[in-house]
Amino acid sequence: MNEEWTPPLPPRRPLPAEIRVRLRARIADRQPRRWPGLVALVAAGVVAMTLVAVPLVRWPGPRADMAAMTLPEVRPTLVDDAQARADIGRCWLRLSAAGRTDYPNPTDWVPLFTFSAFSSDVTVVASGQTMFACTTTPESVALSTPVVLRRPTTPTVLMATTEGVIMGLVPEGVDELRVSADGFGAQVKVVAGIFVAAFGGNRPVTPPVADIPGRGAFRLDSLPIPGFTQVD
Amino acid sequence: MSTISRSGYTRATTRVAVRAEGASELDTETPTLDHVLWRRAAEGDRSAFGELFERHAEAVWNHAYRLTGSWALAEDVTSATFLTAWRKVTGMTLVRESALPWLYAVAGNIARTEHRRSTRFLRALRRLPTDGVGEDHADAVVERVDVDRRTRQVSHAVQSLPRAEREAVQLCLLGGVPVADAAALLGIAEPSVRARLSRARSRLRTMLEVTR
Repeated sequence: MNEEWTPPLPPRRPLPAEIRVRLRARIADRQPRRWPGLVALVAAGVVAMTLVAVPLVRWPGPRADMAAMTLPEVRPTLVDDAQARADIGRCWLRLSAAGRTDYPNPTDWVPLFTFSAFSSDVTVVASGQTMFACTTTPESVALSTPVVLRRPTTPTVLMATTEGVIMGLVPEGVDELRVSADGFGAQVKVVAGIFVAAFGGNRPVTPPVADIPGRGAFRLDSLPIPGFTQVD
Repeated sequence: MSTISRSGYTRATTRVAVRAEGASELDTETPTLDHVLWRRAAEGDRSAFGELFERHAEAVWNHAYRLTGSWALAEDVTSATFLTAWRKVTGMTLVRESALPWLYAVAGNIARTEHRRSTRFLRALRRLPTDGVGEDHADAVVERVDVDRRTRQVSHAVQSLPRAEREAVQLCLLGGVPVADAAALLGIAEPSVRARLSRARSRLRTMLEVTR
């Protein structure tokens, strides 16, 4: 009889979405990150503009002291669910705290692909016909202004963060391009008409150039700042 | 995606979503055991740890509520539990299939620390009207407050148990962890767990009937 007695317990509840998002953000914010590639670079004294791109990572410069350097390979994943959830949660939390209502409802956010380079994690998000990028670093969050997903006639940058992440759109039929700036460049894969490249730590000083095989080179004069930025 | 069972244990699968230009969404579900994710997390794979979080967050959050009687504290305990797991993941190997008993044990320790730290504060808090019930007579609010009060009574009673009994109760009665898993986690024999549960039930029953 005593064995069957159980203290009165509340029934289990489904975890509300906003609490799940909050928990993810709290854990992501305080979860120590591991950036062995970045540490290696800093240790080697490589702090200058370094372009990493999808999916190739090469040191393009001719500097002799860098010739033997192998940069960390940075691969995009079409959807890294855990990263996407954590980053989307953090972006939405910051937007919500700032009272921004000009972004789509977070329940409609669909991650298209994720990309990590140095200290930036990028999740490209679609919501209905619009898309935007949610970029997080250990210290900051930045979102591009939502735009209608379209195919421009020339490569167009939608956002360039202060940490050097560039995200933009390419014309129909382009699945790869070379993006270069300040003397560095790399091949960039296109996913769903969108490209993302990351300059190690800084916005390019000179306008990047997009080289599309068979179509020529396009100077990317416009580098819009993110639609929302918050430094923690 | 994961589904939650009555005991709070989860049957989890990995959802692989591929969305790219011109491609339809592909959804495949393949089960990934906790200890596999745990090992990958120990190697620095944040996505594996994220998967563990998505799988068990709801169960840990509910368990934390049962431990504390406060949804606000439950959230704190839940995040602290997963942060502790992330810190410790490299130093330990998961021997059981599910990470949940270990997460429950960590949550229990955190709740215990929180209970000690805030006993004085809670004592003062209990003298205050709870959650504005004086102004809001809606049935749902009254019911929720009543559930919170009863849950706090249980959690205080459990916290007052001797450590050995408290650990068994937190895992098996509050968390629904099978006796075998609790025995493995606590490093004792199953009959010992049952004996501790039996003694704890008697004490709890007495304590809770007195406070009713």
